[in-house]
Amino acid sequence: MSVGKRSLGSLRGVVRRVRRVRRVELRRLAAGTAKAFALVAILAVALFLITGAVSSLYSQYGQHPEKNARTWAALAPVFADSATCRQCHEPEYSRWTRSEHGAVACESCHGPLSAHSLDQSVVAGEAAARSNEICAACHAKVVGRPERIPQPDLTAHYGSRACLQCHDAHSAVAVRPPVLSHPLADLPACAICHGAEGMKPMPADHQRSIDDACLACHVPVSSAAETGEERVP
Amino acid sequence: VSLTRRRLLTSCLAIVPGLVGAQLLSRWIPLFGEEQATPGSEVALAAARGASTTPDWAFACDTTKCIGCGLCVLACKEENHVPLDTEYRRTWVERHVVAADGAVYVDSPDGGMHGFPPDSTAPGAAGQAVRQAFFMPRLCMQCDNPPCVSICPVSATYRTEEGVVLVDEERCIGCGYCVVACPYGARYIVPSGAETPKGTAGVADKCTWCYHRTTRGQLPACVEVCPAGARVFGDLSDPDSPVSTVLHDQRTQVLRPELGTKPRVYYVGLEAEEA
Repeated sequence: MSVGKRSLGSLRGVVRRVRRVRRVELRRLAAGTAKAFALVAILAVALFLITGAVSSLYSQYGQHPEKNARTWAALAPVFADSATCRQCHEPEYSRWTRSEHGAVACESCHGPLSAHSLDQSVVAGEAAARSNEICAACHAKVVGRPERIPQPDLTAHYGSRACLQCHDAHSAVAVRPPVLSHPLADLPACAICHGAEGMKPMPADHQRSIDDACLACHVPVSSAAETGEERVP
Repeated sequence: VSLTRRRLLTSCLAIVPGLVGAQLLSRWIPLFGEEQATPGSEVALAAARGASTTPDWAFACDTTKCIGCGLCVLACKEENHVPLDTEYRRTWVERHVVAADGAVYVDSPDGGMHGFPPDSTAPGAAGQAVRQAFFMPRLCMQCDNPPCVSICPVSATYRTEEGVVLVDEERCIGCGYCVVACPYGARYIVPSGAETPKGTAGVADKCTWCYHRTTRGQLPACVEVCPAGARVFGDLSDPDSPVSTVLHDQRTQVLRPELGTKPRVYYVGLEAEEA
């Protein structure tokens, strides 16, 4: 009986002690969990800050080929292209595409025209004024230039006359002579070369005096336009 | 506080949601002015090119067609604001004259910018009987295996997905290693005072195949102005592109193939010893 009472008392004591231990354990566990949460929060903030700092450093000092390539791609073109020129200059374009000069781009002779194409108040470079220089770039006789490119002796070929006095740059041919309407009896044999099918290349020994016999009446198209001289067709 | 194994592992695991959270947060909150990726920019570029896939750009130079007018050299300088002095150039034209005795004379006055005088200006060429003479356009080969990219100590030079080698002028330190490493002499250092499109003197510059034009669907300036069809640019992944036609119809070769640089500029009409 006494043994039972004592054992019952000790059992209560044990239960009480266990409860106390459990309470302490729970309190300790709660404190631990709070600490763990705090740790997680601190870590998250720290990682957020570190990631941000690293990425901002990386964007400043890192390698960014795609970003840099976009800056190269964003540069503004200086040259346009012939298709752009066509939008306003159809007559010249259609004459040019079907000619021997069809492979030569507008801007090969006229220079860069992107600014002009975007804003028509920007005056395009005057190619006609530099025509002799422009023609010579491709048609002067130069060692290494393929033979199929016409390379007349530019000093003998009508001397100092502007190329455009006889040649149309867009169609690359000399102006067609009119059908003869007067006898050539007392005139030089112009019609041998200046036939209805177009002019033949001038021979090196072409006499300027012979030219002058024709040119006394027949002023070339372009110089007539310049000087306002009356032109005999 | 005693650190048990269990607690240590739990704490370690707690890092995972922390990392994920930080990553998500940094995506939504632009706290550090991080470079925002512009979605669709590559798509926009591809649309401008009229192609859905990445193009495979290549270039061909036909030495049988080049007439040595030099319009390409001048156009390149105008298009890309390259200084007009002879030593700064992205492209140039050489004249090769082979004398009757087999000696080769190469000249390129002003890089061919103003065309060529009637006779070769190379030392010793005067008075030689000319057996063969032709012009040869030169430019960056945009190598598949570019020595300039490997040698750059700061990784400032790189290849784009289209195969064009570009210079990041913000990373370049102007050491000039790439200028020396390029076997084709395609690079130069921008002199101070030069008005480059990006305004960066002291860095390496080179031909980009007019990246700003080709990404818009235009031709490089040198190709645009070539009156002889000697310079051809296009996309090899398109079998009907001009450059594909040249490579199909003509027997071509690259310059200095033995170096293993795998150039993307193909030459028509060269003899073996010239390449």
